[in-house]
Amino acid sequence: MIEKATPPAAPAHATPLLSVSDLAVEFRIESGTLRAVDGLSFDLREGETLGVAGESGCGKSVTALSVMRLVQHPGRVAGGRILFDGRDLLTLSEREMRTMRGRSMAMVFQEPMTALNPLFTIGTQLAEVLMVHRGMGRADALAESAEALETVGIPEPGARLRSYPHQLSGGQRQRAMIAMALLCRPRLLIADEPTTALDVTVQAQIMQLLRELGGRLATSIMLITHDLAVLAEMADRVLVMYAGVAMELAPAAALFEDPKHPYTRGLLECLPSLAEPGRKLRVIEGTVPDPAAMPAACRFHPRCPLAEDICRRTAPDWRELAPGHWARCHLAE
Amino acid sequence: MLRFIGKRLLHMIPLLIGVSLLAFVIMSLAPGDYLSQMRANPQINPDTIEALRVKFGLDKPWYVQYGRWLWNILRLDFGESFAYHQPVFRIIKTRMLNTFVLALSSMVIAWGIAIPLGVISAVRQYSWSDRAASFMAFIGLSVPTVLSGLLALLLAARTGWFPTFGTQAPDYEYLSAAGRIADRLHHLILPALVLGLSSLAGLMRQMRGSLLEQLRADYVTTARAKGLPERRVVYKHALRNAINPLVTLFGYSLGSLLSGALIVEVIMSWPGLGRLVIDAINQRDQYLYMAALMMAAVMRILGNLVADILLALVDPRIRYERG
Amino acid sequence: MSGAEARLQPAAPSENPWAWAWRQLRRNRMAAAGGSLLGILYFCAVFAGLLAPYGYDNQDRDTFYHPPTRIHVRSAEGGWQRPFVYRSVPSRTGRGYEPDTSKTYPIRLFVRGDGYKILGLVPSSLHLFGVDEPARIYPVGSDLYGRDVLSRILYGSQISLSIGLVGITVTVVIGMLIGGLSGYYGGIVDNLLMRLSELIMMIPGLFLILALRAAFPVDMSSTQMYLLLVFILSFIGWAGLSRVIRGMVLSIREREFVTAARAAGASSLRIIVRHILPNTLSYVIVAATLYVPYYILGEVVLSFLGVGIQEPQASWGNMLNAGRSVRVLSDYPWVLIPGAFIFVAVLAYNFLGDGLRDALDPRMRLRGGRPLA
Repeated sequence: MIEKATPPAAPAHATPLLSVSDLAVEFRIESGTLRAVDGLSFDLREGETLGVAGESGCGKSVTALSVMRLVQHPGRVAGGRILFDGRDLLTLSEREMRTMRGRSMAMVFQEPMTALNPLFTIGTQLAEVLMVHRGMGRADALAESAEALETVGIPEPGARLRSYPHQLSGGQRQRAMIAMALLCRPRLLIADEPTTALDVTVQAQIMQLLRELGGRLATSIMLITHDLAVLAEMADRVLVMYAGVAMELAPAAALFEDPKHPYTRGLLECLPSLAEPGRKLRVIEGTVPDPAAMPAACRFHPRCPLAEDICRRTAPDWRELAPGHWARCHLAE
Repeated sequence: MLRFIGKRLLHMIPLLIGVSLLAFVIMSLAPGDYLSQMRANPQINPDTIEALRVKFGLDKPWYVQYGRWLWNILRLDFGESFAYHQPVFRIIKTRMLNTFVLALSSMVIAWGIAIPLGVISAVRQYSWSDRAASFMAFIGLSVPTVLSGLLALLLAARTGWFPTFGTQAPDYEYLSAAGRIADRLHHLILPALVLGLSSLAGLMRQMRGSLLEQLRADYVTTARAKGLPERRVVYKHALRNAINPLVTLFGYSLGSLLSGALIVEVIMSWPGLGRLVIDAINQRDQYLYMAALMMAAVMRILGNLVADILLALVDPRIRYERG
Repeated sequence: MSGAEARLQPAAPSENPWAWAWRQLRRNRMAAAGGSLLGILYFCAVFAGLLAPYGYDNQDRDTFYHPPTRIHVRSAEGGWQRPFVYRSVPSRTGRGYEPDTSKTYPIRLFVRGDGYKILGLVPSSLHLFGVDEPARIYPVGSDLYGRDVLSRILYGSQISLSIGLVGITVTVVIGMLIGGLSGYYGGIVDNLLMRLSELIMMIPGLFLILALRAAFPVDMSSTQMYLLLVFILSFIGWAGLSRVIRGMVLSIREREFVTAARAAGASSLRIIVRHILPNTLSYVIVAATLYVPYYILGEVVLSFLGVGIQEPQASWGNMLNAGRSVRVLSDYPWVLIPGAFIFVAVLAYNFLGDGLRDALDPRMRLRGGRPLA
């Protein structure tokens, strides 16, 4: 199997930092309404790193945006609760939500070139956060921004403040984004595919950076990626999503050693293994379903090698099969 | 930046030469010349006509005439108008100024209304005010300048609120300084409105479309994720980017503005470059025609240059690539 | 990102992109409105002779600048009667006209009148409606020579509307050819052609049109004039179109299916015409539809200035010429009615063009662009 580092002990606090229950997100398009996310429930505890895995289009990014309440028209959150520090984010006013974004919770996006405004300097974009949330003056904000850039490992931070995004390398841009997100020491950092658009070598560096900073600042991280190998290194627990619903949620070790859902098993088998050189690459038969034509009952059944009659007729429940290990499958145990 | 401008100005020269050659060739293709109508008149002595022909240089082949014209241009001698018996430059000066004033004021009107309207429309997408404004814009850009000019003329004639021709009143000389300014504006406003109308509509749609596109961009999501107030996200982040394509438009619009100005000048009797060109073309007043056409081309090229400079100023990506 | 996964337009996986586009187009209300409007306009143009009460040159000097004829439905006694008009005689006040109530002239349907040829081929003298001589019916008034404005508008539409279509066809053919050759071969040919197009674009459109017009003699037959106008308008138009096509060809040229065709031994011309250019079609269709108004307006302006379609032929442009005199315009505002028709035609084309753009814009398509060839 995969070599993984020993995860830091996740403190077992009574109340999780983030608690999502029964989240549903819809998109209204010409021909009807699509449910991009349906009945999603998971927790994120203080100081832990939760990995969210799944193929493109499974709803990972939409979930992340929902937590930040950034889902825009034609999408909307259709149901559920998102408790952050005990408060239901879905009931907050827009103004209250704005005080939380960038301050108590922050987000890092996949493509740093387009996620940064090409017309403003890095310094301006970072200082903005401090000026808006901490009421700092421009000079002070810039000074602190320079420090932040240094912390994420960008050389000559002072000069970099005056640079524009297109003048930085991909890796540096992502570091700057991370610095920007962590300026106000948020309790929660959501990283949506932070390294997918970067070179492999840079990927490792950025992940390392996230882990260090996360630990140092005691920030909880929700790490979204389709790359399971990365999650093996970084995540304390992993949530596997497929076609807008949760399929499995478990501590990382448990997930990788004893995956209970056929989909998770399939994903893990697809990874090339050093232990079996020369083995033919495996695939999961079929393709991700069209959201307009979602399979009935269990969403995975058309592609599942173990599918039985009941899978085609009844949607499986979200069951806790072992302490902290949940799965949505009739046949799992 | 200066090097950038210098390079572009240098590039202008072969372009202008090319344009002048094209214009001259087209003119030379025309049957007859300035003296044709004189020749048709039996009362004029053919010898006089021949003398005039030599005097005007019309007896030489076209490429010789062109060469001579080009040589004179380099010495800043624009030649003399056959019809007006005056140096071309003197005639063109006032006319060009009038056209420039008309074009500029119509731009001020158009941009001054279109930008705010477009922004509001985009920010309130799907609202009834957005739909109404978009619809009006659509109607506005479908109205041909010919029609709007004639309608304006009709309005002026029927209501008497506006003058129907000229840049100033007959008794302009006797007006006070303030009176003169008011009079000028009074004569300017209707032509400027007519000319501004068609660009206004198109601009408003552009602004709206551009801003809507930027509002869907990733960096806008980032800005919201940072917890910035929505006003700041829209007016500081999105709008700055949305203006970019319009800046380019700003420069290029000068060119099409000249075509529209020609129509307005004819209909509302505004003594500008356009009307001059028409007369010069009809009469084969060679040097006047060339100078007028070249001025129009120069204005257009300068417009492009201004667009490029503005774009470099506004967009750091371009600025740093050019050095 | 923000729900990009779900910004879907369902398209059956094997659906023809053109069929999909047609479906989108039909659902777009604006495009449908534009298309219908154009259909009506062109129908009227084809059957101008039938719909117009008079020929375009039918003069009646006694009723010049006559306002739109009043149609009455009540007789002098007050009872209902089928629609009729009175003959107009010069008013006793010396200005304008007054009706001669001694005799009523009912409006008849399907009357015989001035001869014409449908599409220049089929002779006929049938008119949809008319009144007996010596009364005249002027639905929207008459002009300086007592010619019916509506009739002239209808005949004028034949010219003004067809020039747009013919001109755009010529421009599209030339533009695509030049753009295609330029983009595909590159090198000197490309350089030369693009320099030329740049020069042409440097002179403001109307100025160039006038200069070109002046390069030709003033008197020519109406057919020659028509062809000349088409030539001039396309001369202006090809430059811009070919530049865009060239850009598109440059990028399409690098796509794999072109290499495949070349490997299969296809000649360059065949590749350009059969493989590359069809992929530019969606842009060309939208651009062509949106260009047509400029062509219509080009003819209108030239005719308006007196150097286009000449009297006694009718064109919307030369009819508007009457409005140049402030007095005429103020006293007889119906001379502007042709302008309303121009507006409607331009509006219809803009509606249609907008709808086409929405239907054919690749950004709206989820299943990425497949080569059409």
